[in-house]
Amino acid sequence: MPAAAAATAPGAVADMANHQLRVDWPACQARGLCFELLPEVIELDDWGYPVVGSEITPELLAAARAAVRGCPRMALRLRPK
Amino acid sequence: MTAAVLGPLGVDVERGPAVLAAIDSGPSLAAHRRWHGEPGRPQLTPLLADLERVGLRGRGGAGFPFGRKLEAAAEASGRPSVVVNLSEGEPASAKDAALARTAPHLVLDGAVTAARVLGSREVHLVVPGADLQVRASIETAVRERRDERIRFDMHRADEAFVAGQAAAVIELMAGRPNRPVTTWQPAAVRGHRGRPTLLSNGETFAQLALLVLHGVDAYLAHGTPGEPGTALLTVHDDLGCRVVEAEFGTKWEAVLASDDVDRPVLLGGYHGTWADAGELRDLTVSRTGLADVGLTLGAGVVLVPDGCPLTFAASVTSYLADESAGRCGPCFNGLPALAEALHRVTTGIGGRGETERLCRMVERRGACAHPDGTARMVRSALTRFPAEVDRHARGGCSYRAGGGG
Repeated sequence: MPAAAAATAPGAVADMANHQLRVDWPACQARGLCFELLPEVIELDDWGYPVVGSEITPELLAAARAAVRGCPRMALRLRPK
Repeated sequence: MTAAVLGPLGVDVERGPAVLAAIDSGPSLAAHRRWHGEPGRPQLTPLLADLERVGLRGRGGAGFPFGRKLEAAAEASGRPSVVVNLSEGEPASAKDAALARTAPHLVLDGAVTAARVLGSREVHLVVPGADLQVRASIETAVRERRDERIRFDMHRADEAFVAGQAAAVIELMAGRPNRPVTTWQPAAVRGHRGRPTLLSNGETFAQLALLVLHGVDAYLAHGTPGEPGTALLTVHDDLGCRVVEAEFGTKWEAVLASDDVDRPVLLGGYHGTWADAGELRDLTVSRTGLADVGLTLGAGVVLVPDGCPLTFAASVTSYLADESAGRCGPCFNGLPALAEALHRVTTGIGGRGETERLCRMVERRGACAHPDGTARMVRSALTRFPAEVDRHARGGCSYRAGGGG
């Protein structure tokens, strides 16, 4: 499968891998948009700060990218696992 | 054993087998050279091999292999900086202050060696801003080395628990507040001014210096085959506070005052782990041996509290909550809640489940390891003293007269 994915488009290999969502904690101010945009992975703690549940699977990658773009504090980063 | 007394801090420093071997002849460069000689100029590859053989790990608490850090700094792009972090954010640790006062040139030999190996001519020295004697001692030592083609830059760290954390130190050096920030790469790859930065504490550089000055065989002569060398410990007990150098493999009975192995001991400082009464009797000063039973040596702080360990843990947690830099939400909100929950455990009004839940909630959710370290210490208190937790739940305490519950 990896060989086939590599043949389709540049960047496709990275899209097949799991990603990790990391929070820049000093930047995060608990606005909660990430929870609205990515409830599959993100919960909020007692104070409204994100609890990142699991890795980002390829199916959730688009939603995760939307959460990264949507964060008004630019406090989320998506990194290949 | 000879003891030198360290001014107003009242910390006794005992002469030791290697790092603290020459403290009786004073901190001058001449005395240092008489005892230790001149360091050679090792090349990177053989030095990395030597570091691998002696297994030197960072002595700031995390215990990362020093050779790997050095190698990462050497391989990363850009001219590396060397940073000696003498700031010791943990107030219970006095070993780097003791080194700065009694053996500053050992630390500087290690730093200069590292700088030369990395092709760098600057060494940054981060000293505790509030400790005038450490500053004065390092300034004197630097003046004695005017002839060396190395630039020493001094930086004064804030008096705050998290100010000694690596990313916080690099912030300080950049002229920003001395507090942790999120880093996406280790400092060895991208640190001061975006360049590779070899940042370690004073003891780590002193250990490197010993290796370079006296060679691998001399280093291997101390400690055990699995863990060669020595470690500096800051011991707090009924006798006060002292800094001692112990060979790895030394029995705790030999380090602690007479019956203290039969008392609960907090190992590794405020971010450390609790040993139950008597548990240390069969254990030695050993990172791996302690790790096997879920204990940590951390930066070498050993606290024997006078009284109930659970109550002590609760007051340390309150202190650590106050020491949150307030930058990361889970730490700023979570640590005070955790301190409150643990206080409820000690006063017998529930809180145990809440304490465990809050430990999980703060872990890995900050720019630095302050929440993780706090949760580690709290969790260790709950798991090491279950009988004491039960006694407190019934309003008792085995350390209070008539409080056997």
